[in-house]
Amino acid sequence: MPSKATPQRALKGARILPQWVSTTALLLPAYGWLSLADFLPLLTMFLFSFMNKTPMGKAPIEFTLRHYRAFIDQPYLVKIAANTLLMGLWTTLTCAVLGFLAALALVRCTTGARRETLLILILLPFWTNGLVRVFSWTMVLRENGFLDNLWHWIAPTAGSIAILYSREAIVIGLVHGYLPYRIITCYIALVTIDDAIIGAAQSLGARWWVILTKILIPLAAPGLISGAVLTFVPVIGSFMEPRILGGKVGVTMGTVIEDQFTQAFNWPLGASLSFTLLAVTLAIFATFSGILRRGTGGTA
Amino acid sequence: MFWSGSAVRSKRNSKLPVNFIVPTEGAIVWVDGLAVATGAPNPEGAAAFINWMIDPKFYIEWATKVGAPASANSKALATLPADDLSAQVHKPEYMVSKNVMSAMPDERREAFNNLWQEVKAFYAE
Amino acid sequence: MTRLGQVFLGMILIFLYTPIFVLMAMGFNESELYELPFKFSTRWYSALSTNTELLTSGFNSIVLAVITAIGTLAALALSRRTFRGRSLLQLLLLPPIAIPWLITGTAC
Repeated sequence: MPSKATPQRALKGARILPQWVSTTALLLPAYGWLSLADFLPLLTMFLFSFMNKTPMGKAPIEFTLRHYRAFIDQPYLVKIAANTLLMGLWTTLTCAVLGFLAALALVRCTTGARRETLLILILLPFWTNGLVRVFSWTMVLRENGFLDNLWHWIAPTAGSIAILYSREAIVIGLVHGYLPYRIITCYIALVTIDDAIIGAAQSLGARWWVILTKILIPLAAPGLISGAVLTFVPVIGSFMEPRILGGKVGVTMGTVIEDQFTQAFNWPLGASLSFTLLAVTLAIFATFSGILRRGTGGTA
Repeated sequence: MFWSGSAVRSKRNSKLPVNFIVPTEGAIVWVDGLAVATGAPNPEGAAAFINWMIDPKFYIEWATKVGAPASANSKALATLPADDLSAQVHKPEYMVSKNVMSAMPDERREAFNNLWQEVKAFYAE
Repeated sequence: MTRLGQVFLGMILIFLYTPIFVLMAMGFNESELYELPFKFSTRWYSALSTNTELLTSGFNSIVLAVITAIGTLAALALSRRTFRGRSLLQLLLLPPIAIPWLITGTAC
């Protein structure tokens, strides 16, 4: 982290245009692209979600709210949604613990070139395609796969430890996908904490859990929270991991929505389920952020 | 539950212990079609492709080397060895119990899909 | 304590790399169904080198990856600057992540 003074001085010397111009210039490409490639299609889908059928062909279109009643008309969806939220919770929690500990180990137990190498190694799996990574887990977890073979080599008489096509397999695949991201967000949050604070606490006799719960976690909280949001939100909409690693048990909101689009050709229902899911996610975070703000005295 | 073509592949190419049967309760059957769109830029080429796809010479290669669905061309189907699974799909005793899938009204399709989703959700528990 | 942290990091790396190495190894496996035991072969790589369609799509992916750099610019503005509507712009980033990407793709 460079010191704040240098860039600001440099900016002051070179400031000819007002700041809002540069802010707009920085934002415009990304939000322009998002409008075109995300907001516009999502708005179209929002419109579709009120239609009685997929708007293709010559059939007249009627507007209806019935797709938003899906959770009442098809009560089994509630169970699927609960399983999906549970899957998101497990993944986020596992990622949070492993990611925080790994980032802590990076900050406290490594230095210099070795730390840089480790950071690159952690990020490198991101360079492989997500679908490929999920698929490679099938070869590791399945019966007579890599882990199973390794296990039989250690314990030839024991039974199989294959866990492909289970909820655990889905969570493993999802954790694998999001862990590098979580390690980096936690690392950035932890590395900015001044060593002197921890030194001071130690010299005053603070035990390690006091340092952890009273200093490290509160100071790293913004990073931990944004990391959690960016894991939980895409995980509950995921359909690739449940489908490939879950097999028969891999029925989640993501796969139900995907089915509506790719198999049932019922875009309105798929769209309304997505927006319901989005509303639930936003509600969870609204509640969650309220609790956090109270808990940390308005700093988070 | 399997497609007959996949069953052939699993049994012959991968030597998996599977077989193809049609339950007495019946099975769903459907026909994949090849068509040329109106105003397509190259109708001759499309026709040539369709002829090639249903030609017995190509079909026997597709069915024996890869594993194909049962052809709708009886001449092509006749070239298969008698023990091939795809050759058995059109057995008369199977034909009586099959329901041919066809276009259905949107409401029924939606109900069908929702039921199928519920079945999958039930077995996911 | 330092030793423990390093061992933990090693375990994390093993977790991250096991599937990737298994996949890389399977690229050299003779069987098309990833069957074990392993039999060395380069047939899949020679198949790839003659498949122009796959190579073209690979190049397209690289171009797309470069385009994503524009996100970095926006991130700079959102983190370093304060301006009216900043929270709204940040909030707008959620729906594209929360809604399964397949849907956005279908709507395009």
